Amino acid sequence: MPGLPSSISEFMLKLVSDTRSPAFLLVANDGRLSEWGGELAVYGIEDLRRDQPVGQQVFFLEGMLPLDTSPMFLPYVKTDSGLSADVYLFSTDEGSWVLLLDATWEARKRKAIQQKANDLSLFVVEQQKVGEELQQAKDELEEIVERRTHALAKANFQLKLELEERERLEEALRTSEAKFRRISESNMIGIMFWDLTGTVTEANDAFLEMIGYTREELQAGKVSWDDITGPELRHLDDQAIEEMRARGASVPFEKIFIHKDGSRVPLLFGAALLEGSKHQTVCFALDLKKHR
Amino acid sequence: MIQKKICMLGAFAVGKTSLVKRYVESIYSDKYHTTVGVKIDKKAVTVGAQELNLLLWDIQGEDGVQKLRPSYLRGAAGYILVVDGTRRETLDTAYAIQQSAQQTVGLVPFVVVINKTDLVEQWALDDFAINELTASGWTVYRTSAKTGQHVEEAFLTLAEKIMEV
Repeated sequence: MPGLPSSISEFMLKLVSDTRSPAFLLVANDGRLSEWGGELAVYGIEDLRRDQPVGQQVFFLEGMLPLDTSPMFLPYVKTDSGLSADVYLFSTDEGSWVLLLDATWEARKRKAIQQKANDLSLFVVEQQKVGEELQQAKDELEEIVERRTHALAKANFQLKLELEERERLEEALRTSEAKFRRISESNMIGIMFWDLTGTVTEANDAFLEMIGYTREELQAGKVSWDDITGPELRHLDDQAIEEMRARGASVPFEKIFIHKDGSRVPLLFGAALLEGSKHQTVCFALDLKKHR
Repeated sequence: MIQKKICMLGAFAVGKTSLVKRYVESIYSDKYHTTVGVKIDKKAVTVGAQELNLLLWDIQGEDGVQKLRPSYLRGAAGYILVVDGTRRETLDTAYAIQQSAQQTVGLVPFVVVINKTDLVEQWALDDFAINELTASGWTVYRTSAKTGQHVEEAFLTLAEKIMEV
């Protein structure tokens, strides 16, 4: 070996020989085995036959030979014996040489490192996958939350509008009721609520004064339509009822109520069905005696 | 007897060793053992009336550091590109390996095996990606080394393609 003393060269050869179980094959250019030697049995290569195709005897050489001009290296070839061999192939005038060196220890060491590296890589891939799944689940959840938040905000807005509308209606109702109460309580005209089945359910003082009944009698249900209406003008009531059912209100007409003392009270009378009711009416009565 | 060298190629942990074990020995193990270097198995098959030995080179998978060593491919009559259906990136590796293999051994027959159909609910490859492979004229099998699904068909198809050459 150039630059190395023969002692070093010899030591190196002995080292390789002692530790790496060298073995060789020589293959002719026609692919037939021509020579072999070394510790081939260590690699499970036995029963070799000279001048027979090498690929049929040493399977890993199938298709490998003949070589191009450049040498070739096959690291860590697992042999039939279970040992791993570094396989070197190179050409000379004699044919293609195949050199086997035991690499089992190196292969085991490498396998241990590679196993850890690959396990780690698989773990990282798995974690990435889990991370992606978590992210996807998070995105979906956020989308659902956003959709529901939007729907909730919309519902809240709608509810707020409805509440405002309800407050407005209640205020309008309160105003309307206050106005009506003012008219009723002023007793400028008689006002009463008449159930078409025949009962006067409520009335203001002016109306009670017109017909001569007390509030207690009214509340006791003692004021019936038949008692205060003259039978000779009952047809006018029937006509008013028809008008109310057709249009919601009757055209005011002159009518006579019978006072509790039996006297006749001429008055202008008008009635309207309460909203949403087919029987409850609100009526006004204007005493014509006082206004003639 | 005729012998044909077939190389198992693909990223690490895609199931190359498991596929060979399933095909040659009809066994399967869930435990992952990385391959260092190459292990060669032999399987006798019959294609038509022709008996032949398939020499299956189970070559260590590619990872970020280890690339396919061209010397392992020398003399290959065909190869199987193995993809892990649950790892999308192994398809990209397969594309790169196919280019590299073609440069080394030329236009020899090959089939693509998308492995791990037993984990199909975890697959990261959609039909679109797989259809792209078949659209480019590649023969694709969905296999499971665990259940044996389509394993034999994949190897036999490649053997037939090799014998047609």
